[in-house]
Amino acid sequence: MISLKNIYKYYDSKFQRTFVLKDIDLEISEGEFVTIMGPSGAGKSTLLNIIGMLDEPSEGEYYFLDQPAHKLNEKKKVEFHRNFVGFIFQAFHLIDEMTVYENIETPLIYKGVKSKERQGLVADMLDRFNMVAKKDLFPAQLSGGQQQLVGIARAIVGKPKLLLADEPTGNLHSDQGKQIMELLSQLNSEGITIIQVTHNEEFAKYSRRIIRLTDGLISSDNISN
Amino acid sequence: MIRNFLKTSVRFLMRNKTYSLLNFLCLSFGLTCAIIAALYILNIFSYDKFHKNYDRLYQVEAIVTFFNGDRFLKEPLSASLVGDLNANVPELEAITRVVPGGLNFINGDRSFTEQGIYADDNFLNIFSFPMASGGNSNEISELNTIVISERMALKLFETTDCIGKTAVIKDNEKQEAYKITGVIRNVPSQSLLQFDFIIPLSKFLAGNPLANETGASSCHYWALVSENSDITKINNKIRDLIKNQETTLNQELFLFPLREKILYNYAGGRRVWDGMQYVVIFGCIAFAILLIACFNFINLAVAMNIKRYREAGIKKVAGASRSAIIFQYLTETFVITAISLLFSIILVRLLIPLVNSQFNAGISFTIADFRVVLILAAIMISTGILSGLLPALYLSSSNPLSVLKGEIVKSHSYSFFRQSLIVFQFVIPVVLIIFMMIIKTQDNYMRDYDMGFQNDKLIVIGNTRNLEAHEGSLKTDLLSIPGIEAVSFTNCIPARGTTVSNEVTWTGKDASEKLHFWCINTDYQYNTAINLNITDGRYFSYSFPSDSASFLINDIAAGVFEYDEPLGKTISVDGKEGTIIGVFKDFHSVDLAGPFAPTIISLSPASRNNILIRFSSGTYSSLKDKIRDVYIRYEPEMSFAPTLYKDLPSYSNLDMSSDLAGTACFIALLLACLGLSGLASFSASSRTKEIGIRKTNGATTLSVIKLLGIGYTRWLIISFIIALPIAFLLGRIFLMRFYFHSPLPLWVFVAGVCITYTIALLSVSVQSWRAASRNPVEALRYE
Ligand SMILES: Nc1ncnc2c1ncn2[C@@H]1O[C@H](COP(=O)(O)OP(=O)(O)O)[C@@H](O)[C@H]1O
Ligand SMILES: [Mg+2]
Repeated sequence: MISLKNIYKYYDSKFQRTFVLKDIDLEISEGEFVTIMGPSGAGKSTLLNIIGMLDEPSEGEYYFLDQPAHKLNEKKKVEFHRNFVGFIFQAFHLIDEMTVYENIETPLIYKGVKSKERQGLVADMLDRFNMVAKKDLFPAQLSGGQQQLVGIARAIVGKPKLLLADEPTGNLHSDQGKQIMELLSQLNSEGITIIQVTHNEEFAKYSRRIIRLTDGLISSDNISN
Repeated sequence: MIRNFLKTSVRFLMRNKTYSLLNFLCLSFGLTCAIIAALYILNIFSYDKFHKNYDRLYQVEAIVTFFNGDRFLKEPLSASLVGDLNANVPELEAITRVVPGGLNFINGDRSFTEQGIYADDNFLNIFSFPMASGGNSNEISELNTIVISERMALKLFETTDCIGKTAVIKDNEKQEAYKITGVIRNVPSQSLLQFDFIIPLSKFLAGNPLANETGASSCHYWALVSENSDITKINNKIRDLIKNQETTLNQELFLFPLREKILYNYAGGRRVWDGMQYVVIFGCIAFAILLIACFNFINLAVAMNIKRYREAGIKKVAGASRSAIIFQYLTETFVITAISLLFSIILVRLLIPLVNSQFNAGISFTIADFRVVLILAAIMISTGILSGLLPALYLSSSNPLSVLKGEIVKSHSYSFFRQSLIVFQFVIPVVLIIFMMIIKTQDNYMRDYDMGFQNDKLIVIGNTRNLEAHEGSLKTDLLSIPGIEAVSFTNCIPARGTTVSNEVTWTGKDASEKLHFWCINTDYQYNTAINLNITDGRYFSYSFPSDSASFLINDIAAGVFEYDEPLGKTISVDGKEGTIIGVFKDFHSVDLAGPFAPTIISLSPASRNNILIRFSSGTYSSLKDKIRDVYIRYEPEMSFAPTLYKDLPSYSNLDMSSDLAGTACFIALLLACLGLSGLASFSASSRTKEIGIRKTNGATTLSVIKLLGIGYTRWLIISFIIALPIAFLLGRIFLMRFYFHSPLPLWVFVAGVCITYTIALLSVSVQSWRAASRNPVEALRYE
């Protein structure tokens, strides 16, 4: 599903070129649950953002479902975001002016889903995450764990094929973190491909494949059973 | 989709109340100005449109060239000219002659003065003044017939059903009955011609045989030009038609289109803006104010959108395209604009009476008029796009990557552009303030111009036939009021105009040459009332019985006559011969816009429409009622109110221009400062932490305010640098229009800059003070 070939990412400053990713080759197939680990500044987020097409590689080729993603134009990228990928962030990034309900609904609106259908889909999500009672609250009125639940609900409501999670538990207590991880592995078992970044070895065990990144290089790529 | 967008927008606005309120107020004021200006312009351009022949109606007028090069427009022409025009210009399909006049109607013991016209019987065929009852033509062909308006019918007979009834006109002691043959609907206010009755012109001509003489100034000529005719060609044909007639010397005829009558006038022989002037002034000012309001919106919105930049980034991740974000933001702007529009419609309704009375605008406001709806829609859409597009572009440029990385969004985005907006916003009020003060200076210069009399002790009141008939006793009665020194009947209020004659002859005059002179018709008291500067000889005096046929002339006239010793020499004016007994100088009879013209004072009683009352002690307010009491004794229907000369509307209409500039600069300054203070409050709050740190390090509140103020000072100075030359240029152009003008007052430039700077800085400081005076610990904790 995802195929990265000779991906480089670097930033040019006045006198030098700083490499963030160096010659990354990576294949991820549909249905995988992959964890990316590595020290801070290793380039994990950058890699995730390139996969999520929020960022572009400086060099190299990226195929998503056999489409050359590095050649996509702005419009195609918007389509990609609408239909194939969901994001979860460490800082949740909910919209403060929207209620729980509206936050979850947002991607559907941009996707052009009809109002009736939207209602059903959002209601399903609220049900699933036990948040029906909280649907009219604003993010500021929720705990961190609940906010992240909303974040996940928003990421998956559009039924993406790929879920990208950049340190989704980074701002949470370990209990809440565990809950989120269980949710992720459940989603994975339902067929969504998941790529997460985490520092937590324990949470990494929820996935079967762990990629370690050091200084922009893949230092190990372990698939366990 | 839109509903969802709007919900978040409304919440955002509710959470940032100061910001929303500021934007709302600025936009409302801007829109209010724009709507009022649009209504004003709409009103002016709606004039006379109801005439079926609107585009083919022209007034035949003359331009008179004076020997000193001055050129004037002359509307009334000889009644006999109609024959010449008909014979020479077949393109004029129909010609109707009109003589406006006021008449006194009586019904029982009640009497009314009404304004109406004498007109040829084809008048109602050429112009489209619809009949309420009665047929259409021949209504005004018989001598003693009259067509009246519904308004007048109600006044006279308390019914509009009055065909066949008789209207009685009282002229002095003479009464005459007119048969009513038609009733017309009231003349719309948007009509150049205003009248309440029509009497056949033949009636007028029967009573005024002189009106038919060549050179007489009796009738206004309106012509219906046949379709597709070439106006330039017609103008060429008629130009010299009367030019070489002895009595009309140097008069060139031309066609003045009805559709331009309200917009243009002729001054000095050149076409100048009349109503157009206000169309342009109103339009420019309103546009400038609306721009300021939009710029405020942009500035505040971009500043504020730094908060929403994150939101836009998240939305992009959720699948929003750029255009969706732009669309959403524009929708939000339109909602704010629409709410402001509703509010400004209320404001407009409240303000219209004020505008009408202040600027004599005559505007009305109904949503029922589709043009008004169109204007409102156009104003709203352009305002929405103008103010919303840039913040929308800014928002949509949100890079989700930097948002997600948590990078601090730079408020420098578009900063150059935004600062140029501030500069522009302050250029306008500075220019307006200076320009207003220049107008005021010139206005005062003209009011206080030394015309040799104390103008604050002179009262002017209109003359009427009844008063004229009792000149002697009226004067005695008025003079018996303590404090009143002189009462004079005249056709010339100083610097407000007088009549003109080319029937002046003198010894040694080239007989073929006919020159125009200003003529002052007055009495023995004129000089006491206004104190002429007589350089040679004396003023009229009862002790010289021969004075009744004598003249005073000014030095310019003496130069024209080439009389070195004018005293005792003979001239003849309008066929009456007399001796020159005095020479005066430096007296402005017409206005201060042109040079001194040759002027003759005589004791002729013709067209003395004004009474000048000079007082030496007491105040105007104490004398006013006493004068009124005397006046009413002779003229029970008090149709004129006494006015202090100083309070007369200035001849050049400067009052309105300066009021307009004043109001505009007030609003512009208010808006610009609202915007600036909003920006200041935003930037102060975004610098809360910096301020806190500075204060814990020992900075005083004052020094922090200074720090915050310096940033704005730079931009204000740039706007002053731009504004000053513009104001200077405008001021010069304006003053050059006046032959006698005050020097360009330099202090107004200093004052304009100081006023603007002080007000702007004050508005910034209030916001900065709020930020700077906060407890630093609290400020740091807040971060
Ligand atoms: N715009 C940029 N310019 C220069 N360097 C950058 C930029 N963005 C990120 N970096 C660098 O790229 C490296 C990788 O960042 P990131 O992918 O966020 O690391 P990680 O998520 O593994 O902690 C960091 O060292 C960071 O300093
Ligand atoms: Mg990271």
